[in-house]
Amino acid sequence: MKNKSIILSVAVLAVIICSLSAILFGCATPAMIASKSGTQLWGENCQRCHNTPSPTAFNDEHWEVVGMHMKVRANLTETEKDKIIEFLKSAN
Amino acid sequence: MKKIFLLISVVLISTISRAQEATPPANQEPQKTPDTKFLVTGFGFAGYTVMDKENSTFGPSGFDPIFLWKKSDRLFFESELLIELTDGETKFDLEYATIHYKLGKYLEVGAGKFLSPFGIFNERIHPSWVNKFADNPLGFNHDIGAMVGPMSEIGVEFRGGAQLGQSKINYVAYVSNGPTLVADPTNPMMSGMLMYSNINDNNDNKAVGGRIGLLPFKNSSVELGLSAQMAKVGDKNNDLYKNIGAQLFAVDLSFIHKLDFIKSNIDLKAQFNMVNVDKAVKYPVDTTMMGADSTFENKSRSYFVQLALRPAYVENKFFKNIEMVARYSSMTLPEKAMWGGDFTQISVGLNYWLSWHSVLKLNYQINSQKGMDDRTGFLIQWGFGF
Repeated sequence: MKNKSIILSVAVLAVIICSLSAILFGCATPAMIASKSGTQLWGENCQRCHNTPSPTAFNDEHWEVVGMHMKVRANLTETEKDKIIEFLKSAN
Repeated sequence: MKKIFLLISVVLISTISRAQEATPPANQEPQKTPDTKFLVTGFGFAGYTVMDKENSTFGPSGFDPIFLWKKSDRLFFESELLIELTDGETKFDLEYATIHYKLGKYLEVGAGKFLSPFGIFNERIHPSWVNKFADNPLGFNHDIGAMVGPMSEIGVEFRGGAQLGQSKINYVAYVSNGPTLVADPTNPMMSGMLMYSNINDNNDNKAVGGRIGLLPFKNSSVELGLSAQMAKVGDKNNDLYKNIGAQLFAVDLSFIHKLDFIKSNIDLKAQFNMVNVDKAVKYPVDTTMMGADSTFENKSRSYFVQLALRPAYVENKFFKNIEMVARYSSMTLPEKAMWGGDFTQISVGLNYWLSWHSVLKLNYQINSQKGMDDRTGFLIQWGFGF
């Protein structure tokens, strides 16, 4: 019972930290990170799980749908998703 | 438990209210494309299995369509069906069907059946063209008695991701029906087992869980994740088991790196699952069976470590599509349970990528079980995404 209380407390604390971090640190992204192109983000993030998809695999509308699906699967940030999809739409 | 859930809700709502985006101006340009966008995607696979002491057979084969529907920039629906021919039968299941709504830049809510964010295998690696092997690691299968930890949840989840300086963090928290404990005198062989595919909960206590992932490096090459789930798993109408709880933990690691000196990519994935069930006074067992024990320490473990190496940057068109893979997995079930056992598996193989989402896999596998002879053989699979 004591262990469960500790674990639950840690979990609650973790959620609080994540929420606050998202507000505080999300607003302080280094310029080097913020300036990453969609091409670079496409290369870095897609290959975490699978081969980088060819931009010609889908049309613009379908890339938007795929982007929302991949944002859930890979827990991408909103910025990453938007930049990657913008790149894929420009290159297809 | 309810107070903690309420506290979590208050924190999340306060986060959402500060992260809300501004509403668009009234004088927008006319839309050129419809709001509603729909896509059918998914994957399929065809296999051939040759294991010693068994007949060689074509199979398993399957088709998993994924339906994606984007209503707006905030509202999204996704669903995957599982249709597979395996073990002499056709399996049909709903892998997930989830409605997502974006609450803000750092948070979205999902409801329905969703892939369990318990580690990374379920959510990210299970499709046939993503999984570098022809089968799943031990403990990561849908089959009863072959699962250590949940594959999916039915409930509500909150998830998101954010930049943390040069690092990134992603997070998921959920409430779901959770697993149920088998303690049925008419089914003594499965006594003490947790069942994870629960359309209906067996008590009013809901499972609470989550995962935090940290990507410490600016190129997202490494991700380390911690997952946990807590739930009451006993039937509330059974005084012997209604207070039995379970604690589930998982640790996952992903590492991707380009090795310039051999013009190759290396891909390392690993996950460790642990399931602890509170000690029960007594499980219903068939006492006429040798080794039957009505009280046992109900802890299960499973893990895998896999490595893939692909010379993707060599000039030769054939060799750049070759990928060498190796995996070790293990599953340890309670020794004194009727469904207990100690299993290990070594898989080595070669993949050939026909395209970025179509792959031929050839695996050689050695399956070991404590007290039994090894089973060895080959698995061949053609996996493709679409």
